[in-house]
Amino acid sequence: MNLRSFEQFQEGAAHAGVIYYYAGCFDGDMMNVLSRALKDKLEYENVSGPVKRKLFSSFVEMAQNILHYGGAPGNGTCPEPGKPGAIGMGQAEQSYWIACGNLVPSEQVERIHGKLTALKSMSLAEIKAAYRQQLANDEHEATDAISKGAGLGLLTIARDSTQPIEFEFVPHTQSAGRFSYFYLKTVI
Amino acid sequence: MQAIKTVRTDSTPEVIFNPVHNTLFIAGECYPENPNLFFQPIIGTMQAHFDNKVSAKFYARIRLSYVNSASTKSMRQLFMVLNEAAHAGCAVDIDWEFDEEDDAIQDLGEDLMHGLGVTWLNFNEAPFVA
Repeated sequence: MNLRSFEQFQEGAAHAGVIYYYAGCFDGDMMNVLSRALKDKLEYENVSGPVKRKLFSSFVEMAQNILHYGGAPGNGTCPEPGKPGAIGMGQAEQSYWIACGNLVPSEQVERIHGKLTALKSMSLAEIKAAYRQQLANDEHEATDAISKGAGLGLLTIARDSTQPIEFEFVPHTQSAGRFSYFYLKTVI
Repeated sequence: MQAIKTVRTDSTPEVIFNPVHNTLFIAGECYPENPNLFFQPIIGTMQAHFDNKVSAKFYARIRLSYVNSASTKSMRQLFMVLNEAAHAGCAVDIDWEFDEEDDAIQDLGEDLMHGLGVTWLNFNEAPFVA
């Protein structure tokens, strides 16, 4: 990379209000490094207690989503069980945003799209009710073969977001359609 | 009966289970990569403790500052074990401590209790000022 590219990258990040950003391989060790760095950054920025907790929670859910469900094209850049992805946090006037991007197998796009579309139209009360119902759903593991967690990750992110969560899927041309790039953003 | 004492880490809470005094203490943050690996030994030991003999009383003090979504299922299992012991005649008290500004942990306690349906637990919300 030449310095001009770096300058453009830096200007773009500053314009977007980015105060924290990582792109690369996600695995268990990196998760610990990123968690600690984010906590330190939130302390440094003097973020208030409840907002800090919500930002950290959304970060953990997003990063663990990448770790557990992210696609790995297997081209050697991110050895298994690592998953390539990016996560960033930034400030916009009165609020903070967190966004992440990672690969997902293209056949799962419809499923994730459906879940997020439903979430977007729900009120906070509906999200809380759905969370409560899902927490008590002990059949989840048996009925959802893809989910590895409690099925509560996206609900947790949506619950803390002050605006409807935003998402986008972009075809990943390098893998000839096997994967799509999945972007997710929440505002706190 | 086996006691448990885990040291607090960045992503897992301190857990102290004392089978002689019939107490459980959990404090810290909880977001391990694999919650089952962390919780199963604890929940298994608690289950074996109550299966062996239902004590007259049990006291759990839980002071979590953050729980990730995957770990909430393990918390549900823990509550179910305690609820079964209470149903079998043990007087189980849970002090659910949380930062009074943190409605997420308060909500989690209420959601866990709601998820039990009929409950014999004595559940006390104990907000504190951080």
